[in-house]
Amino acid sequence: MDKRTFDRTVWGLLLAFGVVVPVLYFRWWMPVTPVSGDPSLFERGLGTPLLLWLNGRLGTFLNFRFLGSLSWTAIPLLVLAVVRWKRILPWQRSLALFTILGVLVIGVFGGFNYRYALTFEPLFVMALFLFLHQAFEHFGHSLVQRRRYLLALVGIAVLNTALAIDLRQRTKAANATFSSPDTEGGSLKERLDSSPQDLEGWLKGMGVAATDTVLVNNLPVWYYRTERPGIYYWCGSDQLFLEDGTPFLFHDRTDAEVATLLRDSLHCRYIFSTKELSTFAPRFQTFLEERCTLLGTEHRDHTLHRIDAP
Amino acid sequence: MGEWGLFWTAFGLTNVLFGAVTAAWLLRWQDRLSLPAVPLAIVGAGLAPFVVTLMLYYGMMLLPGTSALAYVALVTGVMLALSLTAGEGWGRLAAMLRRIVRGASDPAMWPFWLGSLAVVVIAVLLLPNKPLVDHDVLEYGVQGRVFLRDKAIHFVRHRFDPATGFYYVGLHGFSFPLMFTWEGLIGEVVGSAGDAWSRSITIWYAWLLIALVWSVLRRASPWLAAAGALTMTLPLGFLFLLVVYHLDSYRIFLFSAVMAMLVAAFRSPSPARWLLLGTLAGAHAFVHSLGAILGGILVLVVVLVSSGGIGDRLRPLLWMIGPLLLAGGLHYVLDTFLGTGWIFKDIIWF
Repeated sequence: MDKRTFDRTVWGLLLAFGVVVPVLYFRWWMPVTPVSGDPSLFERGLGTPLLLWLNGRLGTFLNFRFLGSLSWTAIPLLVLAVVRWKRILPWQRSLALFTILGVLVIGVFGGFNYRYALTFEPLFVMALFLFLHQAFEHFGHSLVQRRRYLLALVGIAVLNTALAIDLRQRTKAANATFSSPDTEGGSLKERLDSSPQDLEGWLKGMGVAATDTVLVNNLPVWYYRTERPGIYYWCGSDQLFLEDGTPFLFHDRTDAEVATLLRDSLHCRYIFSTKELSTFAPRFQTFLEERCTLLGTEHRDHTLHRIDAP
Repeated sequence: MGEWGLFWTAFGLTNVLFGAVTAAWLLRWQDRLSLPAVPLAIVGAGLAPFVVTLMLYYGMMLLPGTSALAYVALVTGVMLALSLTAGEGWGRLAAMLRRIVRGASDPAMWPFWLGSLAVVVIAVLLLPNKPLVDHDVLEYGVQGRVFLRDKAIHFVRHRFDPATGFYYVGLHGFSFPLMFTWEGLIGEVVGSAGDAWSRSITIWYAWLLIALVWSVLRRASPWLAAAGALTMTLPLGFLFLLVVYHLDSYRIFLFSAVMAMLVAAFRSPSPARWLLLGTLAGAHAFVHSLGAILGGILVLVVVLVSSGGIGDRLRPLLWMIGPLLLAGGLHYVLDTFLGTGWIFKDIIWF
């Protein structure tokens, strides 16, 4: 490849996948309201088959929302490595093979969570910049040409962040329940601190004794902020977390049986949750509405219900 | 002593003092490692909190129920031993720091100093205003406090705390929960309580990661380093890495160090390099299950890409496997066979 072809190829790729595709992604492909009924799929940006691939299975390269618009550059580098496998050096082979296997593992098992895909981002940035440096040396790019490339890469990164922030703002505007420090109002402390304020005082005020056992719906803050006994539960998987296992609570039980189990066997009279978490399981939410009495809603939307007597 | 007194005590002791010790100790082996001083020192400094938690892990497993002072003394004793055996590493660390100070006025370094200042501003705004609020980090925090209260680590089928009803659903190594334990132990010794230091770990490792990437790219070109580091930090995911308390910056810092070391080991193989690669991979595993799985892939890659017969291909593993297991891999072996079953059980996704 000569210098001209290299420049045309790189500029073309940067324009296509650093600018055009991200604009399509943020302005058209990423929904601002849930497409399917599953709130967690929407939250994770996996609500459509296309997004399942972009943000999920190939999220390590193409999750533009969280990883920026340059992680895809690892794809041509990997293709180059595979095509020239026998001619590249052992360290290049080790890096390429490790990346392919690592990305496969993350894509298959951890693609639902951008945090796992983020693992490779610093590596891809280093690979891209070192590759470009090698290419600059090889083709004899002038200082001005090199600066043009670097400025373009920074510009693409800035554009991506602007588009990602704009998406968050539009999502906030379309969803009354969307809550995040960067889209909320109020003082810095109010934006950053979403924890229940004075949890102990709030519970005491509602007459919950320090020895009363409470069903805690996936809120570890209960154990961090209080010394009170709790039964850990997650309505999303309908599992109780007990000393000898993680049995279902609602599965194969009527609401009356659930209430009896909680009150009589587990000696639990209260349920601690949040409005948002309770929506993850319609059956749990219905149980709260029909078999329990709402004692209070804390200003951060934490809720405390008392299980009604049969 | 108040919460901020505890923070500065833990920070000064662990990040600064112990960080200097582990950096100097790695630099002591620079003759054998033949690695550039600055990235090596950054990785060394980043290993200090890891070594602290590893000592607590083995200490609480093998010598359970001892006093807080005894565990702090155990960790300090290990660090003292490392500092006494660091030898020439101290001189190299001092020389490296002098070079950095002399080159501080280089305009190509200004973006780094400005970025570092931005990280300090984030820390100053975040730590007093944002308590522990997010789900995962609260789980780690609660488990860390269970270790602090029990002063023991056991392997059990269900990690259930009978005293409170808390059930730790995490699958990962205990390095991060043990950060909370460490701050609590220091707190018990100095008569204070708080979690500001444990929360600051997120920001600390994000900054170390930026410094590591900068130091690697700077070897090619100073402005390449500026553009590369900026490009890396701008995506929303990385910004969250700085401001959302979690173990991710710690994990990704170690992962990036493993990758840099993998390249170094294949470019110029030596027992010292394979040893360090195994240690870093073990440390990465001790933080998160993904590190353990990628550690397995790393071993496979080393065997597949090495040249020669099967004996030659397995030789690097002789150096790698021991440190990989001792630094973190062993936890998963124990947890699989004596504990929760690790990933070989019905996993609950949150």
